[in-house]
Amino acid sequence: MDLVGQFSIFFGTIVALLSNPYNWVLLVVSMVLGIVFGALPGLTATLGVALLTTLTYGLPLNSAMISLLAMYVGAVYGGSYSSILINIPGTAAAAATALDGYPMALKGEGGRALGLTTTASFIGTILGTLALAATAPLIAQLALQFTSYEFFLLAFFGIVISGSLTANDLFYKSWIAGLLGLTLACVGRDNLQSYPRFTMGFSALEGGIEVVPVLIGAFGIPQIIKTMRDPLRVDKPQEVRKILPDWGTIARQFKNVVRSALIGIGIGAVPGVGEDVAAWVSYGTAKNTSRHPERFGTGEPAGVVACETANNACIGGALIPLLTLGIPGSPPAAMLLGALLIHGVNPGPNLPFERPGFLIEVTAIMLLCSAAMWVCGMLLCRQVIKVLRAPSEVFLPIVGVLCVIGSYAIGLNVVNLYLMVLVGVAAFFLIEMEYPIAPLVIGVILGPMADENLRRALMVSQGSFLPFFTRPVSVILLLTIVLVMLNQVPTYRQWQSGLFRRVRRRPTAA
Amino acid sequence: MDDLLRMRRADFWTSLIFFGIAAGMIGSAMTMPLKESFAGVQNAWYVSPALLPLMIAAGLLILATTLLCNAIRTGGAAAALASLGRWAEASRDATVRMLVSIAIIAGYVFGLIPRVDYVIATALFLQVFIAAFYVGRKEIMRLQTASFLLLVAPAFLADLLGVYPSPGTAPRYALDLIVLLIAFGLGLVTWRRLAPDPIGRRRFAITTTVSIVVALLTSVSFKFGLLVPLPAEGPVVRAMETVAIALRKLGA
Repeated sequence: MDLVGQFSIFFGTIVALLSNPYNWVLLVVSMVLGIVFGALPGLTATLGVALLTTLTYGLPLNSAMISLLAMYVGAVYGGSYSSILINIPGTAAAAATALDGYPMALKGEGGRALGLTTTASFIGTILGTLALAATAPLIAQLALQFTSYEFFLLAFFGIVISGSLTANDLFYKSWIAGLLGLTLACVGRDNLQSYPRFTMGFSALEGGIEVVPVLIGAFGIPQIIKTMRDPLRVDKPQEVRKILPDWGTIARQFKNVVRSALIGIGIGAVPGVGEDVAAWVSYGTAKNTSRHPERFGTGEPAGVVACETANNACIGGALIPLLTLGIPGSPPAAMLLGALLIHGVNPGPNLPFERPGFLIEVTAIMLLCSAAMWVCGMLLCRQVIKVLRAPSEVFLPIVGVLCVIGSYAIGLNVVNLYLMVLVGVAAFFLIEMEYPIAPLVIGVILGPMADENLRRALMVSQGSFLPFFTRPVSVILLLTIVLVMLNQVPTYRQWQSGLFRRVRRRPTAA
Repeated sequence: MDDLLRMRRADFWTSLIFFGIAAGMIGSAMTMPLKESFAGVQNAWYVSPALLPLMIAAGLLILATTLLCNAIRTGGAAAALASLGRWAEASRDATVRMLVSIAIIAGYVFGLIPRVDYVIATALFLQVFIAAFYVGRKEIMRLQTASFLLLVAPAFLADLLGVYPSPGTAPRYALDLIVLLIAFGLGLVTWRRLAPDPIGRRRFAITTTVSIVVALLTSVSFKFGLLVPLPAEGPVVRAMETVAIALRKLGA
């Protein structure tokens, strides 16, 4: 299809979506809810998408997508409110924003900082969406060449790389988390022979483990326990006067905006690595490339713009592997994958054939969400700030109820609730011991894909592993996996930096 | 004890747990058809359902060994063995708050949700969970948590033993009403205990209001909005159904 044809479908989709007043209401309500979820310390974008998944499963697909993507975009943006006004990041993605946002608020520039974050987030979301629209069809086309060998390696790659940037303690803890996720994915009857594995005689486990309750448990329960254990003492928010978009500052920060958006998109496209990493990397880059790095941390608008552009651009980036390969780019995208599966959408290379036009629809919805975010941000900012005074001891138990009733509503099965609590408590202790949770969740999601494709590949080759080393894409994936794994090993990193130092020194000595 | 040593000590225990998981997986995988025929189909090792579990278990064994060796090398194992039988850290305020949170959530899901009317169970859970932390007094946390656990543990055990009444029967409705009365009584006792503390009383009033409103709102939106049957439907949900039918008749 030519470019003009695609644009006409794109705008036709926007008009079709907006012609339904119900979608307008959903868009605005979900956006405001998203901003509130992001703004309240203790609630996260992932949790917001998780809870909304259970509420939207009865809606038509496009309405559910409007609601879920609005929540995702709104929550990533909303985190900046509490960062700027009370110096407590509403979400991990907005932690870097507090470094310059709060000093700006202390100087009486809270309104300006909020205006900047709103505009930067808007631009970041748009650029991320453009990247999604431009690259997703190409990647999907490439992925069509994949066979079982590549799909097994792809699943393995997703699990390995999701822990590569998120492990804080011992590097192999992310691998252990990934293996635990794969273990959970093995529970139930296997897809090829229907043999019951690890069901321990419980018929309820024969259908396998439901992904959504596991995700709600892994992301929701640890958050509740952690916040109740270490309650947040929220001070009175800083005063906010006029909230203006400040296009002048944004225009002067053009290079910073584009660079931060590219960082956000790139990091978003890496499976399992979320908006927080994008914001920190982009903040560091903005500081290192600035003419006045000493101003960073004292209320420098460039710092706020860099973080907020990157974390919202990350959303579009995270949707690229999700829609083209079926591998979520960030924790909220993992939740979104669960929601898509509930609606009968199987993200992956076959998506353009199974649901032609879905990618364009998602792009159109993202554009609507970014516009709604900007309008809601500018108009409702003062009202949302009032929510910051809500005590976490009151709203987190309510979130607990929503987690429970939401997990139950998915399959009307009480076993899902038991599973949610057990996974949640285990995830809490794993997080306490510095195990990253993203590889575990991605292991649960990609486990069936890994299992089925490994056995199918070996069936084709009659038990030979040789095709893994002779097929070009397989070899590239294998090498990437080995490099990613090696890169996490401290000894290899020391050897590598020593090698670089020696190479750099040689020409000088000559 | 510094944080790093505490982490290595935890690594020692978790490595043992991972050994257990890996051993369990290998034991269970060895019972799966490897080369034998299953459901009339002759198997080969490479299509066996045990293939991936065995690979995962092998990976887990290697990584658990690495974790254990690191814990031994860095003194975590020695610290873990030295701390056996000592629960000094359990008395710390944060640990108590963590354990109380886990206990209340587990009590709600394992004890109340499958058995007690959703509205009553949820209102009680919220009252206990919010009051324990929001009112800001340790004796209220103790009172609410202990009463809650004393209530849910017998319900769970009775169901486990198969003596809990079946859904829709008169004894089940009676038990729902007893739970409602206990929730009411617990509220009254807490209110009296908070007599000398006006801030505590105001907070408890907010707690009770939020508990009832959220329990009713979630049940109405899921039962009548999303048409999702609630986990347990007792006297309150039935009363809501009667009201809904009456309203529909009025509307018609």
